[in-house]
Amino acid sequence: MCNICGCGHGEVTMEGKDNKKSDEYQTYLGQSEACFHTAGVEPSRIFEIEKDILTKNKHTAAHNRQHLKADDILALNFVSSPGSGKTTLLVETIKVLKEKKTIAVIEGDQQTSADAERIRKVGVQSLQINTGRGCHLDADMIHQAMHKLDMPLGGYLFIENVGNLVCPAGFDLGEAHKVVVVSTTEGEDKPLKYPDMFAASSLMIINKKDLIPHLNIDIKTLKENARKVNPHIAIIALSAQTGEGMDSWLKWLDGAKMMAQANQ
Amino acid sequence: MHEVSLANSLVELIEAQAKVENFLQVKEIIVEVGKLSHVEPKALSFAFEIAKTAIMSNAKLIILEPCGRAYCLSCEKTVPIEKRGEPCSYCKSYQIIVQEGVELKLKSLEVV
Repeated sequence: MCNICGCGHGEVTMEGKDNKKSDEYQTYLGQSEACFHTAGVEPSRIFEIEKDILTKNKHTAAHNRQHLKADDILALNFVSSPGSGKTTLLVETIKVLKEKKTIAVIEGDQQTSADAERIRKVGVQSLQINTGRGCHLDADMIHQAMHKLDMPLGGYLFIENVGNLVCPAGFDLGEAHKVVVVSTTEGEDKPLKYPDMFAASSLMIINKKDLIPHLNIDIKTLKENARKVNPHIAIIALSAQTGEGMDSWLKWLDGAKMMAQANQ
Repeated sequence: MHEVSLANSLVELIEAQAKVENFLQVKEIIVEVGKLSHVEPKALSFAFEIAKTAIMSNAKLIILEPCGRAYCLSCEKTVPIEKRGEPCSYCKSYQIIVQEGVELKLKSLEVV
């Protein structure tokens, strides 16, 4: 301890350690019996923090996940660029499932409640989150939304993220899986251009399959590109509009639900 | 654009640490942003300048960028990778699992 001002740097016992970079201060430490430290001038300290910058979001996401698990709800986070057909896919999925399963939908968009209204029209509760200038949903928005919804016990919670292939990749919402939707009109190189999203997703849905004859797209290359980024990604090609391929998607949903229950 | 949210989270973490450890000024902030993470270091620096609060107004933000490393299931080696979507540099297999380079971490703070 400094004898003059009693600044007590040597008593720091928490995560901090002495500032090894400051030679000047090291000198003070060496002369602790009669140091020249001027009262009121604080020496610097270094704290080793080693904390994830997204700690708070991850904590809230884990909390959401616990809620969902307790209520036996499979939550999926749908991500894509704008216009891939996420809402149409949800509407068509809900039409098939709503008699057998309880479902709720959380819609994320910068503005308007158009998507939530489309979902409500098919008879399922839906809550719109407008992110304003925000480019993604985060775990706290979902937490708040979950408290406003009647939770679909034993069923599905579909979260339609903001149409954006970049930012939502990094934000865990507490979902069981991210499902990335890419439409045939977007070309085959999206997985290589926006790899984080495809790396973070469990399933890639190739939507608008019915348009393939009119387009210059190589579906095989699209699939290969997705697997270059994520060797374990499941892939289903379908058309939400015509219904082609919807069976495979519904089977995948069933499987994901069973896996979630088996992991309870 | 999500770098703004990340900068806000970083500022919150530092403020929380300041409350616990009773420091008044931050001199240096060391952050790790892995080369395979979803974050652009320049955008994070820019966003931090806007998000920072009084206790870090004079702080220097240092961003370290750890390289990517992945385990190759095919040749069973840990290999360096520059970016996602690249094959194993030895056997050219895409069956690789990213292990390092996705960090997004507040490493340390120098404070007075």
